[in-house]
Amino acid sequence: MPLSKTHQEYWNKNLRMTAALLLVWFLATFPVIWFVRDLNILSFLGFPLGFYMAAQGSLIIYVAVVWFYARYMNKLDKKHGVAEE
Amino acid sequence: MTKTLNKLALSAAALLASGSALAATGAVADEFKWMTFAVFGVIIAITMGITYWAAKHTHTTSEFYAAGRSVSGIQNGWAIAGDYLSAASFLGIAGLISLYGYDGFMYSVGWLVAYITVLLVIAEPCRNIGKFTMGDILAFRNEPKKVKTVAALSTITVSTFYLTAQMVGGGVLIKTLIGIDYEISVIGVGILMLAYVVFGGMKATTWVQIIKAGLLVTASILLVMFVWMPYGFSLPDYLQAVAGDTKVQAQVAKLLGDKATTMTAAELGQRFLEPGLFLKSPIDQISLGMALVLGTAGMPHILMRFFTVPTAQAARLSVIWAMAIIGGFYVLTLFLGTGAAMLVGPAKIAAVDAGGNMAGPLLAQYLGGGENSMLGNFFLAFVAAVAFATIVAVVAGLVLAAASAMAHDIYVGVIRGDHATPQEQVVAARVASVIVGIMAITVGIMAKGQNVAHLVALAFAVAASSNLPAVFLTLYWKKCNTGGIIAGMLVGAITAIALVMVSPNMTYPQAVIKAAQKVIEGEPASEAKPAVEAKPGEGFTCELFAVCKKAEPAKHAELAKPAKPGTREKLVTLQARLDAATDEAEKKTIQGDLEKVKKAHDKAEGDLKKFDGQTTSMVGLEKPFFLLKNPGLISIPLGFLAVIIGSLLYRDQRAEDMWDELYVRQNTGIHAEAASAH
Repeated sequence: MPLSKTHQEYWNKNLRMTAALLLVWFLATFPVIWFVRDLNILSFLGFPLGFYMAAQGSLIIYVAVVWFYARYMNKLDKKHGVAEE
Repeated sequence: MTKTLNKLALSAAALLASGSALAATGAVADEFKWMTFAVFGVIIAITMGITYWAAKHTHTTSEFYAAGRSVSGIQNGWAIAGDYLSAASFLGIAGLISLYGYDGFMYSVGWLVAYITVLLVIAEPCRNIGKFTMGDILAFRNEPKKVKTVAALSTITVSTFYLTAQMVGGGVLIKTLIGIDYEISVIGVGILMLAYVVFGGMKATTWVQIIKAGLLVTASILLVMFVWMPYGFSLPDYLQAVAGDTKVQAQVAKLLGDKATTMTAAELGQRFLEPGLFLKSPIDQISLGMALVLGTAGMPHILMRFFTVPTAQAARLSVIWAMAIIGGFYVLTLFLGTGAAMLVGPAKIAAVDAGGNMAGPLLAQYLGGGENSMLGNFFLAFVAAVAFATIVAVVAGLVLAAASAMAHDIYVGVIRGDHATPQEQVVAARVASVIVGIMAITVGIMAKGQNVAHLVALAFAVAASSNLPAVFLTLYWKKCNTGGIIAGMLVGAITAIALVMVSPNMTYPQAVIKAAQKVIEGEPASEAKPAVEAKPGEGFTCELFAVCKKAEPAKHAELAKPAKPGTREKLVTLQARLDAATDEAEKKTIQGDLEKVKKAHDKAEGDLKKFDGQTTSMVGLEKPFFLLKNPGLISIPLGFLAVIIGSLLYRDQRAEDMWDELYVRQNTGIHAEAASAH
């Protein structure tokens, strides 16, 4: 099957979104853990923020990232006519 | 999370070490054993019923390997969660949190963090291109026979390492929980798992995973309700209680040693919620972190799950559900771990099992009313049954992955050149499952008492260094071809295995003998030592290989220490005290201490005997040459590099021509099923 223009566009959008979400993933993971002691000065829901991120915050962000990706890609599938029935 | 993750290997080690920590009776008291067996029986009966039903619907290859692509997104999500929450992760994390506080979370974050990479870069294109195995993905635009052979070898290697660790861990765990003999536990797990896989194929395996994940989540929610209720479901109040608990504070004081003497009780409690009680050596953690994050995406039994769903949309949906279930479960472990620390106490948890694996079961027993209550033991039986189901389900998934590589890639793809009737293929798949299953049971029994922690690290390291670079580059790099795949997979796997063979994971007789002698003879009194300043190393390489001087951290000044008696001396003094004791209660305590010392003494003696006269490890080294526990830091980049160099040297016009087709298929999944028919 040849590569049509709409496929190309679809693929580029897919890659861009993947990169953006991987950035969010990175930020929610590595800096939060490196700087946990500094973050603990701040407070969130009555927790030290750094502690909260490790216990729950990062996990919640991961689930949100995946949810957003699936929603975005499902829409993109429909828009470019590549959705599977 | 970079500071994280030493966990996996260590917790597996703990899981394995746990066997010796408990007498042969197990955590469940004899008079309540029938209850445990009843709960086990119910779970086995249900899963067998499902297997019977699945067997009636499993006739074609697609049905055997991929459940006929009929698994819905939500079902697959639960099944992935089932695959993912292995016994080490579900018992291990709660245990680590109960013993080490914050550092325990690093383990759960580390696990989940890996999953994002799986979804975003690997899962969906793999589903769209592959049929049943990793070999199919690689064969798409490369020479099928060659890449399928290498892919199958790598899949079988990874699965065998992981499988052995799971079998040994499972045998020990069941023994610790209910006191069944190790060999019988391993055979029991093996036979059950074989029944699911051989008769029910992917369909039965999937449903076993779903049931197991459901049980696990239900059990956790119930326990958390009981733990949290007294605090009116308020988080800050609950954490306040954790930090204010005297058992928790005592644990922190114990972990910190001398440093704790200047801290107040409140500071100690607060320290439980901060990092640094467990994890050390940042380079090793980064290395292990890389292997875990990238290795998960290269794990064949995880990749295989994505072939079971009918559409790309369903694949995405399944990852959302899997992430939500796994994430939700790990959020619950915050309460399980800290709850166990507060209610049962770290000292008691560590007494039953040094790695903390019994934190969850002991918490269940406590919440039901304690050791001698009916309800307490029912709770314990339920958690034990969930652990059992967990082991069987994870092992079944691994066996299916290894068997599919053997039957589908090697037998059908390479030996028969893709010309086999559907009936022949299903028979081949079942025969391969039996072979892998019997091998798993045999290796499991042979590895009794061995430290197989390095096998888990090794499985992830090989998956990350061999499978991932090949899969990733064939999906995303136009110039990737057969030469690159073969070079990359071989280099990645061989480097990972070779580095582990010369790493601190192996047993070095001299160190073991020295430690054993110390246990028996005790330590002489030492004089006070002044503080030592940190010494810089001779470069980064020195941190990795034992060829030059590595950096040494600063040491605190040490006070003079009195001599520590060894077990030999202790046995004599305790015996004398026992003979002199008149009070019944006092006698009992001394008797208990005596038994503990005797056990440590016997183990040290055993070690001395076992390694008598040996000076080098299996590969002839006196001490580790490679200084990290996990080879990922070196083997993963080498794997990628080898794929790139191999591809550039080999040159294959067809692979480049097929790129466009792969590109379209990768995006859209059109013809995914059609491809499997040819």
